[in-house]
Amino acid sequence: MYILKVLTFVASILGGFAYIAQQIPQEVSMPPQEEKFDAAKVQTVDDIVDIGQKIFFGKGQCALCHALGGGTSGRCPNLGGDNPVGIKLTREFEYETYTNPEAYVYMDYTSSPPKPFAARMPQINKPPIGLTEPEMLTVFSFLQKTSGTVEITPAEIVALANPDKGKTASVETVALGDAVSGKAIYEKFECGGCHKIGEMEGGDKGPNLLPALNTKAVTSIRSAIFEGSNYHPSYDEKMTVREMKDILSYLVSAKGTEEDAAAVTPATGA
Amino acid sequence: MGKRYQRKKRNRDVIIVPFLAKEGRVGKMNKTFSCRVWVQRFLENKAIFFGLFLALLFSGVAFAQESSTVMTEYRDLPWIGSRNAIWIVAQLHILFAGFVLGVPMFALTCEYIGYKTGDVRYDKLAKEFTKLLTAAFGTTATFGAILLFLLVGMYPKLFNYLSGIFFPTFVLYAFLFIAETVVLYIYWYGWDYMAGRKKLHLFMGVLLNLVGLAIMWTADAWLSFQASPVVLSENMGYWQRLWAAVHNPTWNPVNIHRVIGNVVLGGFMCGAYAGVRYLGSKTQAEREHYDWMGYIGNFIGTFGLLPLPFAGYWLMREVYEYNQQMGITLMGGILSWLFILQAIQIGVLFLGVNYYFWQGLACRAKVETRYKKYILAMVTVLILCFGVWLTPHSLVASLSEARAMGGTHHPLLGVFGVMSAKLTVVNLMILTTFISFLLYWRANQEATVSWAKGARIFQYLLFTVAVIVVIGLGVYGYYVPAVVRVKILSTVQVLVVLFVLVTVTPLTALSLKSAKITGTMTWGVMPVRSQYVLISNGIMVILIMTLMGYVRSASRVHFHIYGVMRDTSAYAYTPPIGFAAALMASTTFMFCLIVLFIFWVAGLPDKAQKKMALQTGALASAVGVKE
Repeated sequence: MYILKVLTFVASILGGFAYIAQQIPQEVSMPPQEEKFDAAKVQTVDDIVDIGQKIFFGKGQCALCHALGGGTSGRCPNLGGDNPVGIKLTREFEYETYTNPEAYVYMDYTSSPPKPFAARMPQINKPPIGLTEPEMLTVFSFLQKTSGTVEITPAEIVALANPDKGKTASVETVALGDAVSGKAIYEKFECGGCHKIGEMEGGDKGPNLLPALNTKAVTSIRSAIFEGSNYHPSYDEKMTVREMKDILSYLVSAKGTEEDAAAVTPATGA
Repeated sequence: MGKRYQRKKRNRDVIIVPFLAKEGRVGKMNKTFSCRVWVQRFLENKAIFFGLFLALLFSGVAFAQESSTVMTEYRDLPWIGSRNAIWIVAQLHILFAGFVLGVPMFALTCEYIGYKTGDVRYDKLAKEFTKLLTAAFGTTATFGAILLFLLVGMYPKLFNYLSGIFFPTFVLYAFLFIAETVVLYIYWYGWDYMAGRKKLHLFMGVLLNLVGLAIMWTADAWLSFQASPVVLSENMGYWQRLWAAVHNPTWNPVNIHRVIGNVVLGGFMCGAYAGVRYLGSKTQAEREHYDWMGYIGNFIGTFGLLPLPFAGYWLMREVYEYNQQMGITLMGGILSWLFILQAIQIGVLFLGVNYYFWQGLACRAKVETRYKKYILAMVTVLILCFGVWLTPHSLVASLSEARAMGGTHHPLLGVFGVMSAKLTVVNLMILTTFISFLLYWRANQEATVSWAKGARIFQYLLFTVAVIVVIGLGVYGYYVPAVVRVKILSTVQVLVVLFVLVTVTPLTALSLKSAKITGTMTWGVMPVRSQYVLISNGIMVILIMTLMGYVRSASRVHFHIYGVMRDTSAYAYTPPIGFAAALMASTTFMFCLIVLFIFWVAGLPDKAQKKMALQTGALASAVGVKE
C-alpha cells in the first residue's frame, strides 16, 4: 500500500513539473530554411536586397544580436539608427567585419567611458553560419538599402557566384589595395619560395601563378590563400585583409607586366 | 606499420568525405574502396555489441543498410516517431548509466568509511547498494543496446559519420565494458570471500570506479563532439584527428560535471531508496537502519551538490567561449525558459536538503529550540534566493500588463532576471546549505580543543566576509560589461565560496575530533514527511538530469553535429517546452517504475531468507513444544 502512496507522490511531482512547463510560452522553433543561392535569379538590385534580407533574418542569424533602427540591443551595435552602417562603412570595412571581426572592435559609445559590446561577432564565412561571398555581399546590399542607395550591381553578384567564368569580373568585384606594399608583403610571407609568376624568379614547389591568374578569378585565389587546402597552408590567422588586398593587387599588376613582356618578347625576337 | 597506418587513413577518408568533400571525388573514392568500406563498416558495427544475439541483430541492420539503402539518411517509426523513440531510450539509458556509475562511487566511499571506522553498518550499506548495481547493470546495457540499434537504424547518416571518426573509441568502449563487467562481478561476488582481505576488495572497488569513469569519458567524447565539433583538417594524421575530435572544447567540462553529477545521483538515489524502505518498515530496527541510510545518502548527495553548480558554470562558460551563438540560444534564446524550470527544480532540491537537515536537528538530535532562530533566518534566505533565481528575464504578461510595465521587463523584478543576480543567489544558497550541514554536524557535540573558540570566531568572520563579497560582486556586476562579469566577477564569487567550503570543513572536523558528546542521536524517529522529502530529492535530481540532457541536446538546434551536419529530417525543429516537459516527466516516471522493480527484485532473496528463517524458527519452536 505504501508503494502506491509513493508512486502517487512521484506522479504528482512529475505532473506538477509538466503543468508548470505548460504555463510558460509555448514556442516551436523551426529550423531556418536552407536558402539556395541562385545567381540566375538575380536580375535587379531589388532581387539582391531581397536575398540579403532573407539571409540577414535567416541563415545569417544577424538579427539575433543586431537591431536595425527602431529597437535596441545591448549585445551588439545597432546597424540602423542615426548613423547606419550602410552609409557609414565601406564595403571593404564591412567585408573585414564579416570575415575577421576581431580586426577592429567597435565599442559601445552610449556609455562613458566606451565599453566593448557583450557579444562577440563570429566569423560569418565560417561554420555554423558559413555565408558565401555573394551571400555576404547581398547582406551588405540589404544594409545599404535600409539606409540609402545600393552600390552593388547584379553583375557583381553573378560574377562572384561564378568566379571561374572570367577574369574581368574578379578584378571588378574585389577591391584591390596597394601593389607596391603588396610586393613587400609577398616577400614577407615568402610566397616566392614556392611560386613563380610567369618568368619571374621563384620556387617550383607550388604552381606558377600566372596561369592561375589567367584562369581563376581573384576571389578564388583569395579564398585559396585564406582557407588553405591540402597543398597550401591557410593564412587566415596570419594575414590581415589589408595585406591580402595588397598582395592581390601586386599579383594583378605583376600579371599585367608579365603579359606585356610576353607580348613584346616574341616580336623583338622575331 | 607505415602501410597499415596509410590504409586506415584512406579508409577513414572514404567514410568522412561524403559529408565534407565534393561529390565527384567521393564517387571516385567509393568506387575504389567500396568493398573495403563495406567490410570495415560491418566490423565497426559488430564490435560494439557485447552479446552474440545483439551482434547478429546489429550486423543484420548493417547488412540491410548497406545492400538496399546506401543513400538512406533517416528512417522513421510509426506512431512514436524516430526522435521521440531515441529521446526516451537515450534518456533511460543515461539515467541508468548515471545510477550504475554513481552507485560504485557511493558504495566505495561507504565501504572505505566502514573499513576505517570499523562500523559494520557502512559495509552493509555498501553491499546492499552493490546488490542493486548488478540488477541495474543489465538494464543499462539493454537500453544502451536498444539505443544503438535505433541510432543505426533510424539515423544511419549520422552514425556512419560518427563511426568514421570515433571507431577506435568504439573498440575501446567495448573492451572497457567487458572490463567493467568482470570487475563488477569480482567486486560483488567476492564481497564475503574477500572479507579478510578488505584492502584487496577496496582496490577492486577503486578499479570498478576507474573503469566506469573511463567508459563515461569515452561516451562523453561522442556527445560533446556533436555539440562542439572542431575542424578536422585533412592535413591531420589519423590519430591526431581522433584526439582532436575527442578533446573538443566541451569534453573536459562535461566529464567533470558528470562525475560530480553521478555522485549526487548516487547519494540521493540512496536517500530515496532508504525513504521508501523506511515507509514500509515494520520494526523499529528496520526504521533505525533505513533512517541512518537516508541520512548517509542525503549527506553524500549534498556533498556532491555543493560544488555541482560550479562545474555547470564552467561548462556554460566553455560553451560561450566555443560559440557565442550557442550560448545565446541556451541562456537568452528559445531554450532560456528551460533554465527557469531548472531553477525551480534546484530550488526545491536545496529546500528539501535543508529541510531534511532541520528535521534531523529536531527529531534525532532534539535541539530544534536551540537553532530555531537560525533555521528561520535560513528559510527566509533560501526562499528569497529561490525567488530571485526563478525570476525570468522577460515576464509572461498579457498585453495590458506589458503596457503597464512598459515592456516585458518588470521595472523592479526585471533586475533579478539577469545572470548577475542569479549567480549571486546560487552562491548564497550554497553557503546557507553548508551552514545547515554544519549545524547538524555540530549538534550534540561540544568542541574541547583549546582553540575551539578562536576557530568558531574565524568561521563566523569567514562566512560574513564571503557573503559580503558575493553580494558586493553581484551588485558590481550590473555596472561592468558581460565579459568582465562572466570571466572575472563570477569566477571570484565561485572561488570565495569554494574557499569557505574547503577551509571550514577540515577546521570543523579537527575541532570536533575529541569533542564532548552532549546528547545522543536517536535513529528511526523521523516523521513520515521527512521520508517523502528524501524521495522528492531523488526525483528532483533525476528530473534535473533529464532536463539538462535535453538542454544539451537541444542546444545543437537543427544540427546533428553543430555547424557540420544539418538535421534534414522532419524532426529538425525544437519542440515547445510543454511537450518536452511532458516527455521528460513520462520518461522519469518510467525510470522510477523500472527502479522500483529492480529494488523489488533485488529484495526477493532477503524476503526468501526471512521467510525461511521464520519457518525454521516456527518449526524449531514447534519441535521444542512437542519435546
